[in-house]
Amino acid sequence: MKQVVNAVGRTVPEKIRGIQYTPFKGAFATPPTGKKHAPPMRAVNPGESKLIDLEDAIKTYVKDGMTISFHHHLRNGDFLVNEVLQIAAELGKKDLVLASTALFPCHEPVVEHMKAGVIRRIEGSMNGPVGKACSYGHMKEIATLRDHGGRARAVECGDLPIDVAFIAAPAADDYGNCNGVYGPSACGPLAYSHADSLYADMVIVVTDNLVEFPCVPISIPQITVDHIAEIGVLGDSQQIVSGTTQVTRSPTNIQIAEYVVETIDTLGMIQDGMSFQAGAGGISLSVTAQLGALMEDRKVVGSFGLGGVTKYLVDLLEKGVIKKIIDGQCFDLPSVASLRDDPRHQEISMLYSSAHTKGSIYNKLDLVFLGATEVDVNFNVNVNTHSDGLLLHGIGGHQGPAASADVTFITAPLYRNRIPIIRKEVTTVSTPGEVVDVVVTEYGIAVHPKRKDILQKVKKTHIPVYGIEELQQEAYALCGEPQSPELSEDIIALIQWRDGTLLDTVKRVKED
Amino acid sequence: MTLLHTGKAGTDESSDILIEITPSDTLSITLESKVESLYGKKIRAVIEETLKDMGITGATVHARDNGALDYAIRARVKAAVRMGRGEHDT
Amino acid sequence: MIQSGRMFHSDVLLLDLEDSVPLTDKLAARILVREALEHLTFENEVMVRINHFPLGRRDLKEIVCERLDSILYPKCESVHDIEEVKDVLQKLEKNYAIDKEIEIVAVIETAKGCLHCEEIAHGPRVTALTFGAEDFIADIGGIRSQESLFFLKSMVAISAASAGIQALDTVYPYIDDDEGLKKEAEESKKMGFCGKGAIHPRQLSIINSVFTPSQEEIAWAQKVISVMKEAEEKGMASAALDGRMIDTPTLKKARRITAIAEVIS
Repeated sequence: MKQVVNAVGRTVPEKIRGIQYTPFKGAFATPPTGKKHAPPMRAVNPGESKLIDLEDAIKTYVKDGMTISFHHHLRNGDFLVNEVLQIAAELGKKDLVLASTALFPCHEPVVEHMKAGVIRRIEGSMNGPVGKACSYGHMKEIATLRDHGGRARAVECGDLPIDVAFIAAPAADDYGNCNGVYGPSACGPLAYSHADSLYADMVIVVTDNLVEFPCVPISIPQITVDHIAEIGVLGDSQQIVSGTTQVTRSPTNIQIAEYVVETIDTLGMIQDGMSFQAGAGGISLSVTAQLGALMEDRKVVGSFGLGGVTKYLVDLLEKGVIKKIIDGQCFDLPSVASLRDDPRHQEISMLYSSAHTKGSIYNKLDLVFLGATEVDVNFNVNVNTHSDGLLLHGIGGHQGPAASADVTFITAPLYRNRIPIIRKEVTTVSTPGEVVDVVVTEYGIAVHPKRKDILQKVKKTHIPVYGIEELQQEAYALCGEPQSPELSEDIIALIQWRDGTLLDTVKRVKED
Repeated sequence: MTLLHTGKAGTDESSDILIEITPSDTLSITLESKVESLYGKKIRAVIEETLKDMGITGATVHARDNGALDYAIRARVKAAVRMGRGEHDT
Repeated sequence: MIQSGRMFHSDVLLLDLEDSVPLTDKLAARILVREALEHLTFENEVMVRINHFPLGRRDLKEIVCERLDSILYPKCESVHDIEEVKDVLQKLEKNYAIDKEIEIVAVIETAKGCLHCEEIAHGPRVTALTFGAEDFIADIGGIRSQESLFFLKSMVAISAASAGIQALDTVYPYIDDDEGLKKEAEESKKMGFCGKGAIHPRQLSIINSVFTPSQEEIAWAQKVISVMKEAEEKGMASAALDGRMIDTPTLKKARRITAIAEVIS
């Protein structure tokens, strides 16, 4: 296999499965070419029913070797992926490509389907057991991981052609209009599915809550939907959205959040009209809460907050600290209710995250604070693999906001369970260092050398500022230098940058 | 200087290591650790070194690690050895 | 674990060998403290609460080393207790060739200790007094309240002041009650305490905000000092400032504020 070294110093293949890949050249170095993918034209005439039995749908439309897709708005409470794959397996379907926007621990049955040959490849994020199985080489073909925007882009341009899209819809009518804000399995937006609904050859909405026509509000419109199937339960509501999300109580994480907020303040970014992306991780929530409190105190009004949405962001909207919420994902009940009832809280398609549209939503962000599994001395970030080489997480919504926000913060403790998070080299590059501005640990912050403007301002404060190498040396001094994991030369997954270029590869881990 | 009986120190809590050491003619260390692939060698080396410093040439060591740093590993080995030599506060 | 405590920028990091460690674990705990002192780096002052003697002797034998700054000695009841500790420290510092004098912070937590506060405060190497609320209340058979602790707190603050040492307030155990913590810290500050223990890092910013002189206080203090200097030059021992009479006690207070401000900056 011919390989090249890309712009972030990683060796990547030029061709996989006969498809030519462009190596990563720079965050904004590869513009789009060509036209959008186009599914076939179809007509549904008066009197024709779109309703279908789920099993019949799979029997009729899913053929061996096809690519089927799902969204992950139901998170770890999803039942649909397992149900469809179970039916497909029983019908003897083989060699499918699973293009779910993400997979969770509840999707562990996928591992068996992989081993049994029902699934030959996964295009999309993998969490926990599925990622682990992929790491050990149990997937027939090399997987591809993309961030949310990158996947939407791939669907839109035809890099990821979807044969059958299954859209779990908490509320739907018999013509396919659907949303995620009503019903027992309410989850919030249906953002992840939007690109699939436009570009998949066959679109099947699956619901446990068939409502009288027309189903409003309309997240996915009837004109894109081929069939609607009704099933008993879409998912476990307790696991879809948690009753409450809680700010971290970990002193380390609170300290990190404090440094983030102090730096934001020092940079003079707490101003009317400001915008930021919130998150649902422990540190992000703490930053959101602290930032909001500071804004409220100073009577500063932000223009918008970008989801992942939790009650903390909704709180800011209701207090008038931010004017609007733009939402691609809800994490708790209060945020679902807010999306449903508050006109200032707007759902967007995941195409808004794509780099190759007429302006992604991230272009409008002042601030973003993201996590990391590893960060290296070149500011490269890993969110996919653990330091032992195992593929345990998808890229999520990391690359887009990191690349586009005015100031990108990467937050992480210096080390976790003896494993240094700040290290000499990341195991996998998920986001390249060139887009990272500030790394924040509980020890202090490190500013990317290209951001002399930030460095100048923070040097005057009492925020502890270190060189990134100093943080790495501190981590290694405490933990000791980690051994390199035993990885084979076989590639089991590709990491794509949001523009479709190849950022890195993930190697197989020897199973014990 | 030899061990008289089993000595045990440490906990299963995060960042700690549980060390159990029993008298033996030869030295054997069994380690269970979440960070085996990254620090397995180092952890074993620290345990061996600490035992050597304490003049222990033979012992059976069972170690259950939860990401302990070297200072904690050394401390737990020392404590287990001293208990095995009969030292206690009760 | 101990390694996390280091980064929270408290003035003192206290490692406990006493009430939070069961008897069966004391040996392992003191060895762990020793290893931590020898191999981790600490920016803060490192204090260890040892057990009351005789068990505390074993603690000291194990932990006395170059990096140890001070001992928190519980259940002090007389100056004799302090002298015992000082003797052991002196011996160990000599035997281990340690080039410093490890300080003692005495904890008053019994009725007897309360009544001997003054002599304890004047004891050798004692640089601060603090108190233990729960043990004291148990000793007198009372119920914890502001009233039942008032006398003890006063004794501690006044005894410390008489010996020219610090009075440190005890911890506020309700981690999520920020208002309560602030109120208690402010009350203690009024009584002459100059610092407070924290049981959780999130308490540090509130405690610091109460005990750190504000910009207004510092400005006032500097004004007092300059006005009193002028008065002195005119041969006077008092002056007027903002409609109030100020004299020597005010100057003393002002100097204390600027001294703290200087140390902090």
